[in-house]
Amino acid sequence: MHLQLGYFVKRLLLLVPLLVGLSLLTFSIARVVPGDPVGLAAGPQATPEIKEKLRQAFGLDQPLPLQYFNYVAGLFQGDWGESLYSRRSVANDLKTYFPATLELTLAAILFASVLGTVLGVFAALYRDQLPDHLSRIGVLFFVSFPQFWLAMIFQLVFGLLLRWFPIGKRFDILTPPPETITGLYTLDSLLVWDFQAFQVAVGHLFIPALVLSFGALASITRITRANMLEALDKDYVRMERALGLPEHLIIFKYVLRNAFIATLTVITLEFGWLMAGAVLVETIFDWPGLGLYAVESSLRLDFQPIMGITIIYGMVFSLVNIFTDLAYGLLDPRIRYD
Amino acid sequence: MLLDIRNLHLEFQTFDGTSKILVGVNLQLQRGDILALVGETGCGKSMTALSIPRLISMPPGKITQGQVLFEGEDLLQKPRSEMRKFRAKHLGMIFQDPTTNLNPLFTIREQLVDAVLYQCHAADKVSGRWKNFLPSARQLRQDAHARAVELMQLVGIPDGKRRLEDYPHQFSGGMRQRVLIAMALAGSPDLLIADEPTTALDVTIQAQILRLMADLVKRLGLSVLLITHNLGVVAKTCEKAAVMYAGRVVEQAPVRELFLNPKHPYTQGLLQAVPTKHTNRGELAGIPGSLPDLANPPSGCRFHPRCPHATEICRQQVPPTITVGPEHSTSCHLYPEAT
Amino acid sequence: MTETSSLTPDYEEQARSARWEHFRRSVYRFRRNGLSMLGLGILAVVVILAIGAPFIVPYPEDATGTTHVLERLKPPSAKHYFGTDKVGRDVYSRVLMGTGLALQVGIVIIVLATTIGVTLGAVAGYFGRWVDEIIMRVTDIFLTVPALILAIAITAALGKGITNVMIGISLVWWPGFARLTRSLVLSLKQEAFVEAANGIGASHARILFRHILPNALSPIIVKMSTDFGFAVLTAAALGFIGLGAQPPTPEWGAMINDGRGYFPGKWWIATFPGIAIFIVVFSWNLLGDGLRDILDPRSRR
Repeated sequence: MHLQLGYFVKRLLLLVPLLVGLSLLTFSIARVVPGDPVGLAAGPQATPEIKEKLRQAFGLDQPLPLQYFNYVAGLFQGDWGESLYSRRSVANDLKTYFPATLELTLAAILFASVLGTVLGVFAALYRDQLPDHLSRIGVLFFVSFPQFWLAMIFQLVFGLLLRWFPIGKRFDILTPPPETITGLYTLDSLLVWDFQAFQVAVGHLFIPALVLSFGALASITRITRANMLEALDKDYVRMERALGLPEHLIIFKYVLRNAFIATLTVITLEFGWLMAGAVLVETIFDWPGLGLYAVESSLRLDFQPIMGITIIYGMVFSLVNIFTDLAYGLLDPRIRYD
Repeated sequence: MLLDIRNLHLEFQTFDGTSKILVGVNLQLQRGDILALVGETGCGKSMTALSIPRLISMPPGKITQGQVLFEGEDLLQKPRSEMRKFRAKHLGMIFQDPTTNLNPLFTIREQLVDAVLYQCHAADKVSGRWKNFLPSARQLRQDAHARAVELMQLVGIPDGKRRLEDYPHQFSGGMRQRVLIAMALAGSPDLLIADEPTTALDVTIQAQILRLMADLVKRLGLSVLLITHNLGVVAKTCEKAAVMYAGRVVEQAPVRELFLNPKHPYTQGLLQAVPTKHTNRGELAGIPGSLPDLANPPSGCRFHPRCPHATEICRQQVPPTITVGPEHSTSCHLYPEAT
Repeated sequence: MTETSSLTPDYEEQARSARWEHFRRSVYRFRRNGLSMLGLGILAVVVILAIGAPFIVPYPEDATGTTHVLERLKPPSAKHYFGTDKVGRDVYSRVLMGTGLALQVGIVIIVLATTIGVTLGAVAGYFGRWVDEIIMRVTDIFLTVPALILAIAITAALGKGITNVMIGISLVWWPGFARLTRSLVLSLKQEAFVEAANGIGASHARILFRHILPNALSPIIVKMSTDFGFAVLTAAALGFIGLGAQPPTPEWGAMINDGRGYFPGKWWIATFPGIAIFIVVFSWNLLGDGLRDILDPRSRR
């Protein structure tokens, strides 16, 4: 196990130009807007003078390159602009909403990875027999539903009909949430040993995370199965059998590690997908995260938040990619980053 | 007799039909022998070797007839669970490509220690990951580690103790093959099956590995079944040899006898094909014709289309294996059965 | 000279018959896969419904703007199989009429994304150097943000409406194809037959289109088949958010959004469009699974 820190520092630094490029992209999109965001924000009653004032307040009357420059400068200083609609600082909004989405996505990817790996392994071991077909169909089944629709159905069944889980939001309306250390309610409540709060947080997290995980579950199961089958075909497996090693050791120690490394890329990819899919699930379950924020801002053509959200997503995704490469380097001794 | 393969028949189901890979293989190996199994690519020598520890997946493969007797016991009748223990205790096997036969993600130590544990102790005491942390298990692991170091030295890897911590890709080809030999010998097996162990290595390394194997035979009382297509290797290292063609052993004899007095036309053709210092330029002899398609093999003796001495009976009947001299048998209609 | 001309026709003939043999085998394996056949069957029914919908539904005008406020929010009955929505339109008719739209959206997105993506990816992989760098940087930027988010952003910028949804999603989807094509082209570039073609003096375009791309086809088709389902789901998602087709167009995602406010009491408004989406995507996924088994050399049975 070895780390080449220099390489990773370099990659972190490379993030900066990437994000600048991203900001350029989102900036262009936002300014190309055919609609009139200022008009929307000001409301139908606004007079041209009010609109003009609003435009000036937001610096929209200045030439485009200058606007961009100011924006990027502001980014680095922590000023991510203000929402045209609510006048709240975008940076503050992001700080509030981001942990919620993170918690949801982490829970979902964890669930999908664990269950997906297990299902994939069994599908590979019982290839072309019932468990294989069942898991493939089952997974294909759940992934063919529109996520938001599935969320609604789950909400109905588990929340209203069966009353096993709460209907929405992150926490009980009456109880205060645990104090904010990381912003993840589940983690925070554990850190302060508040098991009551933990239970409530998990209860609210469970169904949304479950619904969100389905998409990723399909891919992870399928790729684990494929990787296991490929690994099982390798010469060293035959060698290990010839040595007289027991089958369970061969599969769960030797083959699984080989297969899992390849699965890791898919898990990272899915993490990105999940962060995106969170948009819909958050809407249905009233989960106060980035997704909800993104949707509302999009509909109002409130471009400052849209840009901020896009950049945050971009940052997180890139970091996850770097993290995966790091994990690869740790797991596979053949990989050298120079 | 250590190993006695009698009339082994092996079939494979493929998309194009059933291939009869082995049609009545007969092979005898005595304790202490170094027996070469020689033949061209596709003649079935690897399949024969893999049938002994039963490493062939049984669909699509299928053994339709025959016995594989190891010290009198028919391995084909053993239940699968017992086979694993048998492999661990009595058999060692190494394959052609040392690179792909080692798991790249684990250190040599991990792989070798596991090999030692499961070959020396039949694994009953060391199962489940959590049990590995018990004090008794830890002692076992330490003992296994010590034995692993011994094995590294046995196969001639310098600085064995330190090199245990390395990964396979940090070794050269020859070193990897030595490691594989060490793993195969961890449980002091009776028989080592080596499937073309030197084909993937440089010529100089080849010689080293063969010398190592001969040395181990002398020191450990090991018996070796060496699969190869290289007659030079046979001549240098082996005492006895069996020649295979299209799924059948066509001749088996002590090496000297085989080279000086080959009885089967195929063996004769093989030996003639090897260029010597007397061969003049432009004069390479071959055997006319080509290898048969195993899905649609020739009737009777599978060599008859290419045999200069073929007669009518060769087209109709597979010749039985007959003894034609001391420890010398062949399967050819030229040598009728002695009554 | 006579030798060469007698050789070439032979090889072409052999190659053609080999490909035909391979094709027949693939069809054979495909047909043995019961699920794929099921998927194909369902999809065939869906396509027929899409084409024939205007002629079979009881209330085709409900899809184009007619409302019957007196009949609003009625549960499923013999008169309205799927009940009526908030302005009294027959849900059954609207769902069926929306089939064609859903299929169209999916196809357009995939075709657009593939065309742009494969072209750019092939060019990047083949010509290399600065062309490659530029295209890859652009792809990277697009890929940094998860698809749905970017799709929302772009479509919001372009304005509401189903055309903009298609454009938006295509713009988000092409980078995936570009990446795939590029890596395929890069590895195929090394192959001997490319060197040979180069040696004869074939032009770049010819090499690219006649030699490299046909061999790269399999993984691309696999990706197209996998992504179709996602494209339909993403389009529905955008419709659900409100960015897609505008009323009265019977777009399934938008219909679910309409029904959301009445959920779960008047469950039929949101439920049936969802089931419809599921049927299309699921049957396509079944089909795609079978296709993948044949085309993907790595997934052996």
